[in-house]
Amino acid sequence: MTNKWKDRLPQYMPPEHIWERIRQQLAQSDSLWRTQLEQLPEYAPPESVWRGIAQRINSSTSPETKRIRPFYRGIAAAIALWCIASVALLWHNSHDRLDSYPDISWSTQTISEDLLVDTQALSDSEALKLIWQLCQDYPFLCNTEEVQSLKTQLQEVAAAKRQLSAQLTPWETDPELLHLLTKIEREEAHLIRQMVAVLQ
Amino acid sequence: MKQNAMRTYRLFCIMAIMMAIGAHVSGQTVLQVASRVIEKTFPYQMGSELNIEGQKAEIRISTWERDEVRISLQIIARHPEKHEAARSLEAMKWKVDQHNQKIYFRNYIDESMHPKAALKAVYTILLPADCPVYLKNYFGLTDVQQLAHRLHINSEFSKTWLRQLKGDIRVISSYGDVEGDGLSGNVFIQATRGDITLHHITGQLDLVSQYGIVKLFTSPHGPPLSLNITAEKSDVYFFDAQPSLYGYRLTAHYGNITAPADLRFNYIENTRSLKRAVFNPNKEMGTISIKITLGDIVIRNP
Amino acid sequence: MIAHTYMTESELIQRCLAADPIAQRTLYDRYKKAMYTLAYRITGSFEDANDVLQDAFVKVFRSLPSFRGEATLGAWIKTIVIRTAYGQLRKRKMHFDELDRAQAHVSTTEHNSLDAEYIEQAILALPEGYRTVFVLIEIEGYGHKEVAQILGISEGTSKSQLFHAKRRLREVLGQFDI
Repeated sequence: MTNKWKDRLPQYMPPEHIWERIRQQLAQSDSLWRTQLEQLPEYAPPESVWRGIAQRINSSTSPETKRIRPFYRGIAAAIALWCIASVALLWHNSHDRLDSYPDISWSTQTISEDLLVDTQALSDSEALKLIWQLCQDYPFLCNTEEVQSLKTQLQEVAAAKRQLSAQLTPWETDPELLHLLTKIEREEAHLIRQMVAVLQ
Repeated sequence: MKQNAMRTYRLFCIMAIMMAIGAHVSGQTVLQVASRVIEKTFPYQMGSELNIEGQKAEIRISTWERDEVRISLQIIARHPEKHEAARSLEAMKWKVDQHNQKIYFRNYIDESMHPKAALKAVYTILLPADCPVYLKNYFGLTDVQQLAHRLHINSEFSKTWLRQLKGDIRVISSYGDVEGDGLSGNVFIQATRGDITLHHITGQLDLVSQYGIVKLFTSPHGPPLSLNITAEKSDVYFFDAQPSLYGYRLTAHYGNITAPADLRFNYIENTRSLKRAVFNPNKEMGTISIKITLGDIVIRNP
Repeated sequence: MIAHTYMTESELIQRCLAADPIAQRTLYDRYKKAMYTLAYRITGSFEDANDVLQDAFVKVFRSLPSFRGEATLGAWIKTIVIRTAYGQLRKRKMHFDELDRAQAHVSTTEHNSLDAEYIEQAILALPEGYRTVFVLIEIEGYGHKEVAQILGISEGTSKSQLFHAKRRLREVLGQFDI
């Protein structure tokens, strides 16, 4: 639909100095902004940073090591290997010596093996895999609104279960997380049952 | 006789060994628990605020009279082998920073270290009641009490406890239940795939629930309540000794409304797909507005 | 008393390659402030900036034998610092959504004038991705192509991050054309 009035009425050109004013204003703002950015503060690092750097570079570039001839270097390597093997064997036999972690406090906790989290069992259940396969092989089965809604919910809950499972190790003892996992698994099972009922 | 004694002794030894083995295979695992504590204290003044971000964290916040914010962080690793517990403990990183008076404290797990132990961070925080707190927690537990100014929580896969809080309270939670007692002020709670249970509610409450159960218990003789609930695929339960003292606006799409016999609602619409009911006495105890889709509204005496 | 004369860039490099501790310290002192400030602006925290500066300068001294002089020493060091800082951000794996808190970091009621400190706070309050690109382009003067190369992102991503950063800053800082 054309605007008949607009087409008939004259149009006017702005004078050139308007553009010049706009350009100057932009340049002024830009230069003010740039000035402000140039005035941003600078910060000096603490001396401890240099100490850390010096320690790390000097431990690997000691002039003495560069003067070792290749033959003696080979012997040194063999001795070092033997020392490492001995230490590893000793450490393996007495792994209670944890001197590299001096500030750790130790205690023990006994738990029943029944309560250990079976992380293998947390992957997608067989029923879920079957449903995804069914929808892939027979898309017409899963095209209804109800199935799509259940499918979306199942995907969300399955994703949540995977997210939570990724945080758990077999040694997880946190009751809240375990309770949450159970709740999500129950929800997943409920949705799977609903889905199966609809697909039948 | 000597031979019999020897035989008895041997039998005893065999039984003792078998019992020892039996005890070992009876299903007990001993976990080595490695832990380390970090403590930081910050002066508190007007304009201070605390920002906490936790992963696998149990965050407990309460108040005290001192003008200080004290944060104690205990990081814990559990594994049957001591060496692995100690190694995994190093994977729990933490950072603290302060910009002007804003305190930032966070912990996270460095996955690139592939920790095999079960890791946890336990925060014990003490601060003045007026200090605003902004908190995020993932895969843990949050327990906050007695704050009086502002509390904002973003929570995933974490249970949230709120006790005796005032002021501006805002909680957004997914996959975690929210429980509260004695909340007053301006409260907003949004829970997805988690239940909301609140006791002794007063003041202004706005609740949003998806895929959860909402249970609300009022405070007897408390100030008036203004309650707004929007819920989807959730059930809402409202418990009060005298529910007829409130005004109601209830809407249920594909859901039911259940109320005591003395609460005679005026049904503006009453079909299977839509029920709209109002009840408008003098509203001396407050007003309750609930909109629900695919869920039920139940009003009951406690 | 040993007089410390000014070392030219090539003298500095030669002496650092010979593991001269005075030369190493001189090189570090010459660039530490600028690099630390850059690291701080990218990571948003002094603690992270300490780690970044240390890691970056260790890399500088260890990689010095492979420095061919295609760029100035300062530009080369800066690239290492940027990559280290950016790597630190990615290693941190920020699960947390900073966007909803970014605005609240800068209190608009406290400042009437656009002073440098206020701008600094506004920049630090930007989400990490926006902030990194903004700092590199608007403060350090890199082009989008260079930023894309250094950070391992596309030019398009660099442009869109800058756009979003400026829009966010405009919302916070208000009256200035950014």
